[in-house]
Amino acid sequence: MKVHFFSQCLIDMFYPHVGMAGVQVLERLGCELVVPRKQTCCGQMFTNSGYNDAAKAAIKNTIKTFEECDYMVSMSGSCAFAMKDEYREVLKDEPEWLERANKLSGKIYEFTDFIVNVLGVTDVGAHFADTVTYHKSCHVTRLLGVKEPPITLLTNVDGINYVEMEQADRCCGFGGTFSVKQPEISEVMTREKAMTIAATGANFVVGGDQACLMNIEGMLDRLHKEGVIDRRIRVKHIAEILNCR
Amino acid sequence: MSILYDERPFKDRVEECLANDFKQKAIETAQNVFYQKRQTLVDQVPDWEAFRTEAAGIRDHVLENLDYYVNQFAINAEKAGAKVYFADTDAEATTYALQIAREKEAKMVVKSKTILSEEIGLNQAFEKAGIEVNETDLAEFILQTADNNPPSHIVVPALHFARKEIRQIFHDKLGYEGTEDPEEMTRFVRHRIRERFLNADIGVTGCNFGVAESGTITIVSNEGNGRMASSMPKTHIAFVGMERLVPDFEALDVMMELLIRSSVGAKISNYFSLITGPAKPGEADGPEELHIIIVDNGRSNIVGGEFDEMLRCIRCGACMNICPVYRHITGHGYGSIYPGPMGAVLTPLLVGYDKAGDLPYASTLCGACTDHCPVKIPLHELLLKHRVNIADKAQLRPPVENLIFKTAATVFGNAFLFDNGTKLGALGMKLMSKDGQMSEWTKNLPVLGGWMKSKEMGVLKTKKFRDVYAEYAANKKKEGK
Amino acid sequence: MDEVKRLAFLGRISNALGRTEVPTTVEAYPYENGPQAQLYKDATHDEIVEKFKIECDKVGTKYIETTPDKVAETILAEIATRGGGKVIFPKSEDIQHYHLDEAFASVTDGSASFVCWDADLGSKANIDAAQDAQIGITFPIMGIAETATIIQPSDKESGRSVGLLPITHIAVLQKSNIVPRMTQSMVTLKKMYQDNPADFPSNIVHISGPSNTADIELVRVVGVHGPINVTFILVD
Repeated sequence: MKVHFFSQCLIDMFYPHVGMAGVQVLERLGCELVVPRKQTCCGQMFTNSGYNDAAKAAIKNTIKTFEECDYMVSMSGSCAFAMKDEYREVLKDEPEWLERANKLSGKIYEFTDFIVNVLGVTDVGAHFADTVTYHKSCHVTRLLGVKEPPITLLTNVDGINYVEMEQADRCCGFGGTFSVKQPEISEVMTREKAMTIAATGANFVVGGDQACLMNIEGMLDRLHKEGVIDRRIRVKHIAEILNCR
Repeated sequence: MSILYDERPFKDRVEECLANDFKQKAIETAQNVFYQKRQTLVDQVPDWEAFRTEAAGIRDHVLENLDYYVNQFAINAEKAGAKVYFADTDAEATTYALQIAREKEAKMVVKSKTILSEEIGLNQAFEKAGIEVNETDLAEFILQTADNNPPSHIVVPALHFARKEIRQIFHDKLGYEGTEDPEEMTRFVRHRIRERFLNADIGVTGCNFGVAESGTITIVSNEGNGRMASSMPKTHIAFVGMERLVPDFEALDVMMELLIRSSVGAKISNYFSLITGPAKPGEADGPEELHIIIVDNGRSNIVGGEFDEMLRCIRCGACMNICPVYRHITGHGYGSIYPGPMGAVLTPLLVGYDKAGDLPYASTLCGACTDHCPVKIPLHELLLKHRVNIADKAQLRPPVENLIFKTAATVFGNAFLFDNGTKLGALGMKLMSKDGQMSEWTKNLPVLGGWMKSKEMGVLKTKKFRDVYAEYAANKKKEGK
Repeated sequence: MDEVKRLAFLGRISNALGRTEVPTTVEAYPYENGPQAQLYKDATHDEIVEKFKIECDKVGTKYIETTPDKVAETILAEIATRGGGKVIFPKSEDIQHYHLDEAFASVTDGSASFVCWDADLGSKANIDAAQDAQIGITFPIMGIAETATIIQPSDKESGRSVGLLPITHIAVLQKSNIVPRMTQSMVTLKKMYQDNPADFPSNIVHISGPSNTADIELVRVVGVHGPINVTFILVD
């Protein structure tokens, strides 16, 4: 099965090892990967701030780069949603591009959704013996409607102790540019998320959106530095857990 | 202007609200309580989603035929004996009310909870004309007594007051000598307001749903003040937002299935009154006259437009009960009588982007509001529509921001520029970091400083994922797989 | 109403909807496809009555079951339980039907006194009487099982104040008038209206317990502006 791999600009720039984990998990499951060199960004940081026009360059580049695929798997839930859904609004006045976006939309899958619902795999044979919790990010959970796959995959990992946090699907406070435009509000929201995570007793928080994870990681590290949280809680993309053997 | 009660810059309001621990804690607790209660009830309804779809369908049906239904409602209300007025603006609405008050030589008015009356500035208009206005909803009474303190939630507006503070207010302003026990204070208020109910010249209420087929107005209440205000005084004035209609009695069943569960996590409100015309001849109580003032005040601008789904709103407050931003900035952060997600969408539509252009950005677009809205208003999508209107179309965002995004647009749209741009970025970050983490002094930088003030940040890698993958793929090929 | 105003007001809406005239008819909304029609389809009446009682227990509303011939003694007992005092009741046929007139007359020990809502005496006299009373008795026309609700219209015989001003409200409901949910009760109300719009009650209130609030720190307080105590008398 030939799969085009969308890493997400954030993973590309800050977390290459997460991208590699995703690659290895998918290859192990029998996928032949294509990682287009020309991919840059899905454009959601523009669309979410209302700059639809500015978003077009990134959007068109993404469409051009991926439209020949059979399947496109995204390491980021928020990017998957942007590409599947938000493009239509941005391109509504350009019928040719709109049609190309529509064609691509049906072929885009979020990482865990693809493994469970396309590959039909619920246990990837991973092993990770520790206590973890899971952040159910907004885009994956509410906007894409992918609710069970990540939890299914995670709880089937051999040795794992999964503890659900309170209101796990509450927004972490990143919101893209919100985190730098409204940093004071973002701080309070992220702090609450970090404390909720700490309350589970977990040593790891796992997620499917690296942006959220980066945000949560930043707060967990700062709170640990300040002595508010007694232990260093590490942050992992689910691909990293699924890649552990 | 009575929709906005605090026109300071958004950042100032937010700073003040974030610093108020009690208020935040009060809202957090309220949200937690409502969340549990609502979820329990939602889980018990065999097909909650089907009810939402049905309710959205009914509201859309009304909105698509709003001229017909407003007409039916008005005609049937008049048939039942009510006097009906059409108020284009807030000023017209208060003018009608004052006219009626003058005709009746009214000196004292009792009011049941109606946000619409706040929107049009009714209290100020009456007081200016020398008419005493008594709020009778316990929360509104508290706010009024506290020198017209603004509401922090549309359903439980006085949540930001601790019982201690309420006791103090009652003591200072009303001579209350009792304790801060909520029951004791409530009995005090009951006794005091009962006298007002029995002697008021006019009762003012809102209307949760106007029933077009019969011209009936309906009032949801728990305290009984809706019943009292619409039954004791000889004149009843009811304000109806022109979009707050249902076609017929059957629709009320669907709306009520969703309203109270969404609002406070209860199955039903204690009282649900259906009022059709004034008291019938021969009845010994009930108002002799019922005046229904149907209000537009900007709603017709929303009809048929790109935000028309917003008019489905039934003012339940579910969106603000789940909003993680509202949770911390509380109602007062929005500075509008309509706070939270619904307020962030509706307020700019009623007062314009100049005055409320910040509100659509008070959101992470997490979609929780849309998820909880009983009439399926796509709130987070409407917030985004506002942003497009503000940033893209009207170019109302700060010029620096415009420039940054336009520059980034080119870079992010082109692999070559992106690769090299981020290479520079990586070098830049290296200079500002230590051991792979951004240094502390960066918290003083613009933009970046916002993040660094409260969170750690790692650095851009000079070797990106695509570089690492390219190497990996090349090695695999070399080893002949 | 002001015709000019009406036309201009509606015209603005029609305009926004992209048309020049207000339609004279509109196709009705198809409620039969909705989820509400499916609920309680197969429930028996006994099950419905049971549900009403269960819901009363859940929300803490007191109810007493009785038979038609024992309604009078049940009411007298409840009046005594609630501390007696002045009782106001409506001038309705139900009073004779349950022999309440005789029952009330039989109370001569001063523990309770009875006054009838008499519209002919005018509004002040009646409202004062209700305000002075400790207990009000009404005869609701329907009950809703799902939420332990009674549906109470008011009219010349039974004023709004009877079940509103006194501290205690005793409502006498026939079990045969209990329906599963608002879906059914609204159909009845709709029919009432369509059969005779001119006589449709000016006020119909759904009552689901004593008045309450949680406006102070979300602490639930029972008894705000309406009755503090509510008892449903359920008649077989």
